[in-house]
Amino acid sequence: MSQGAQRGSSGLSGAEATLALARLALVRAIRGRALWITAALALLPVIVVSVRVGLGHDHDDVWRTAFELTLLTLPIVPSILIGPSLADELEDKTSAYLWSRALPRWTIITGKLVGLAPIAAAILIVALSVSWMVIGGPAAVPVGVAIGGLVGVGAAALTGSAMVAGLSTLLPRHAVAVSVVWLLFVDSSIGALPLKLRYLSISFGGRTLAGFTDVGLAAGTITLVALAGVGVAIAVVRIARME
Amino acid sequence: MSVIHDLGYARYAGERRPPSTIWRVIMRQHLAFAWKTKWRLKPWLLGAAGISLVVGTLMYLQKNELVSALRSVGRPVSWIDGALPMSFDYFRIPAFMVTMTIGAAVIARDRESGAFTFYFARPVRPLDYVLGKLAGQLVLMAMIFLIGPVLLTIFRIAISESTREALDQLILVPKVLLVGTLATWMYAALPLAVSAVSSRRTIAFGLWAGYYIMVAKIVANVGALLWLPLKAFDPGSAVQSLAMRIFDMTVQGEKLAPMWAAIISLIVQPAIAVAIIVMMVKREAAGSVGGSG
Repeated sequence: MSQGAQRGSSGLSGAEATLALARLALVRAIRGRALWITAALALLPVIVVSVRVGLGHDHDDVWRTAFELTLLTLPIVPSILIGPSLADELEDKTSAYLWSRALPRWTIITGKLVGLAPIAAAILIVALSVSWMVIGGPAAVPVGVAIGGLVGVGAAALTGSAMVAGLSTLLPRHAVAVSVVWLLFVDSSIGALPLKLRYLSISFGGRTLAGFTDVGLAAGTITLVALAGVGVAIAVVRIARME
Repeated sequence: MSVIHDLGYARYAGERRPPSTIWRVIMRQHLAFAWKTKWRLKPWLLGAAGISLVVGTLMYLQKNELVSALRSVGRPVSWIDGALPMSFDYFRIPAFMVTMTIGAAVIARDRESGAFTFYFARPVRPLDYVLGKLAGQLVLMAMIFLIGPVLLTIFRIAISESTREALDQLILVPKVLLVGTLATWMYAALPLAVSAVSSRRTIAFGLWAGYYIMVAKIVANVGALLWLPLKAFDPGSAVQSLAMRIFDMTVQGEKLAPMWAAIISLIVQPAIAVAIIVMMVKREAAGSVGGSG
């Protein structure tokens, strides 16, 4: 394949287009309100953590509570950040302008995800870090345990973002609603089942990486990578077939 | 040779309705909008029907089996008595779905699409608009919180083994109506208020999900730790607490908010929500074509 064909008539390669769209998504997110709303919501568990610390509850219990409450923001943060960003583009047909620039279609998905998914992960990681500090930092919860929790929520947020991208391309009109409902009811319910089916749950994968399940880290990692792959694959296939 | 048609002004010759009925037109439009597509209302109504069917089946087949999680005055409760108050916990799920597909977006969608200009350029008052949307949303929520539970209550009375037992069970009807009505009121008004303060539909969905999942749950968590009445701030906890308390039941391992707190929460929060909706819609009307603002 010639270099010209790889780059397209816009002169941008897939990676360059991804980075350009990621920068655009990031700038829009910083200028919009959604980022600040999600950040504020993600910090709410700190209130419960502070109260429990004040009441002298066991540090391990409080850490578990902090992790679970932070994970509770999983249906909200990626859904608000990534859902509208993709769905608005598809619903308002503004994606057609991007296609007219001869960018590879998949770069719309990867661009949004590269720009916004790390932000979603960072929001959850920062929120849990603040809870960790409120609990008492390394003196109350060992650094290794805390890192496990932070990796758990961060990886769950990244996978959740990919899943939201997939759902947003399937039902752009109801992107936020479907994403919230999927992650809140379907994913968390599957994750709580005492069956092998829980391996299909993002929340289960996050809990496993955090060391809150009886399953090894490898299983949690494979779960999250596989689910993220499914989400991205759905999104890429759907966007390639859109008119 | 072309024909020139006179497309000039023609007097409206259709039916003229009194202004007091305008809200009904808006309500009907809201209901038609909800019913129009596959995903807005129908799956959640099917879900509510499924819940009614499963709970009714359990009431009938397991009627003498005990529900391990429930107690009434310290004693275990059988399915035939425990299933009805428990069912409200499940009806909350399709109710939340309806708020996510319809309720939280209604007013924000009108703002986003510029529909207010058309509403208030006609003789529609802000109160007509609010009343129409609220009434429509109340009807939708009543389909979930009232129809299913009332049918289950009738079924419970019907499977009584004696006339005396059936007469004793009649007290369930006002109890179910009270819980269902207050739950309907709560789940109709709150998402509309969130919608009224949001500039865009997607922001409204996010805000409502954030309020329902995070804000209410965090306040309920703090309430469970410090002051139990605060737990009723969470719409789900308020409905569950009222349903259990009014049936004299407790859930093992779970602290319920007091009944008075649940009732106050289920009345006051939606009332504040309605005040917010009226205020925001009046502001929109003042800024629209023909507005005085």
